[in-house]
Amino acid sequence: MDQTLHVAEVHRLGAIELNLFNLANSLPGMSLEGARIDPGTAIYDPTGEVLFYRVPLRNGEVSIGYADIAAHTLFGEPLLATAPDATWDADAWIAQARTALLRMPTAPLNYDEVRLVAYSFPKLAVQFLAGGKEVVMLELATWAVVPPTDRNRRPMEPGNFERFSLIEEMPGERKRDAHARFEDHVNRLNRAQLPATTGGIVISKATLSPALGVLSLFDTEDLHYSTRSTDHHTCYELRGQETNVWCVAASVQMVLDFYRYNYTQSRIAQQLGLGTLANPNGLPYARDNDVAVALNAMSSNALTATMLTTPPFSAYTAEIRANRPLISFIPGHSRSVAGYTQSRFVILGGTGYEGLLVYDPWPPNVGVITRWENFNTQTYRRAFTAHVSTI
Amino acid sequence: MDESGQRASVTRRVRELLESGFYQLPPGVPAVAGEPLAVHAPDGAIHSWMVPFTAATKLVAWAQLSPSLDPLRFSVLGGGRKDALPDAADWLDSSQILAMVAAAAGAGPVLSVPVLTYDRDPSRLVWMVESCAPGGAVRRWFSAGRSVWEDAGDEEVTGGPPR
Repeated sequence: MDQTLHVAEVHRLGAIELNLFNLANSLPGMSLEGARIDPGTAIYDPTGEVLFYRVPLRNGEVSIGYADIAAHTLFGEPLLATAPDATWDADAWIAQARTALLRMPTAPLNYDEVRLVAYSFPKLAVQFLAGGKEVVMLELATWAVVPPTDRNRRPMEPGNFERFSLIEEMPGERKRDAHARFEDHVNRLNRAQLPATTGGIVISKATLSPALGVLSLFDTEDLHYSTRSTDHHTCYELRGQETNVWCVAASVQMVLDFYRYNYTQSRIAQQLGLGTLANPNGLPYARDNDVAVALNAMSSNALTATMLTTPPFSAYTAEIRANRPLISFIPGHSRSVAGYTQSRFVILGGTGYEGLLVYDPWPPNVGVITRWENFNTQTYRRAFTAHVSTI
Repeated sequence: MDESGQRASVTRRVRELLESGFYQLPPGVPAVAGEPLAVHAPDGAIHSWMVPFTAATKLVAWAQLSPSLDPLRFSVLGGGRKDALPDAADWLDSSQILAMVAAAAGAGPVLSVPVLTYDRDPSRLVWMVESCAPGGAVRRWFSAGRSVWEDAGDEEVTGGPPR
């Protein structure tokens, strides 16, 4: 597979991704059913190669947003972003850019080509060229002139309002990794076939339904009584923290309850050295590992607990798939985790949505079940896993 | 965008997330969304928005969104058990919050207007009230539902330092 993609391939991949979105109903606030994918606008890298296409999505005459679809494998996945409620009208932007150019005191008017450029991805600009060479570049909307790049700076570390090229500056190893991921992703997408159409691609649940059985789109799991989740109910209980500082005790209580070791929160607090109901205290960071020790001890070593540092999302998914809850430490607070959801899709320019089902003992004496906590917006310090020793 | 414009955007986004099924209220509880409340970071900037969901006098859930409208979390109080739902006034009525802080702070100090913020982590929403004693000493109080305590600072302790 080449690093750069032909426009027809870009649109085919984008259409499959958006149909999958629609099929999985995984884009909150954006209904794609019946939407038509327009040809879109080529967005160039400063080197002059096409980086991605910005594709408006319309339902009849109504704009329902746009999608950015990669034209280069360095992104790792084809669908870069979707923007519900936003409109994209390249012609209108270019008209505004021409007007801004005319207002410049020393307007270079001898151009023969106009391009949209990701001058500092994802920031856009309008580039005016003559004979293939840039005469001026204006930042989209502000219409400020984008200065040439500073060649003395470190790659991939542009300053504010400084142009940089993803294609030139991304390290080779990262590009190769991204290319491999892109290829793998495309191989999976190729299992879904789009019907031949005329007059543009329409997104519809009917389009990809036959392929549903072989595509995992939106992966969601939570805890059950046993690993036989098909015939066993969801099984996990919330415990509110009984003092303002006993989130650790409440989190340990939830996990021990799941394994039928029923202790009062006060007893768990005693084990962890968290004081009493009348004189409680939290757990100093230096004693984080006491949680693992307490889980072992309070289950008479039937549970083997392990502390993980800065756990990735995959650590949570692996445990939940094995039907095991975790304790999650974030700065200053502790909760337990009983499920997850994840999509392969890239939403609103971020990474694909990854969410945790959090049984949070906060607020005191009440607690909340959070469905879902956005994994990419939270700092995770520690996780504690526990598994039952079996013969 | 000004604050009222942001509020309107948050309200619209929450409605979309509810309609799409991404937010799920507990079944059988006819909760309605209230006005978005700004959650302030310790430096005073808006960290996020909290949208409460109430049913009659009870607080059922809240949604927390970033200023860019990304969903941060959707939390159902007490796991959705009706008997575990806290009184909405404890969280949403500033006079009730001030009365609870006044009871903890004792007679004498002047209390500031409650500010919605968080204790240690943005998931631990609290109302912060400063009390100013006649001698000028200022203390910070946190209120979360019926719980009120004095801010003990930012030591590296999960849960918090001894109260």
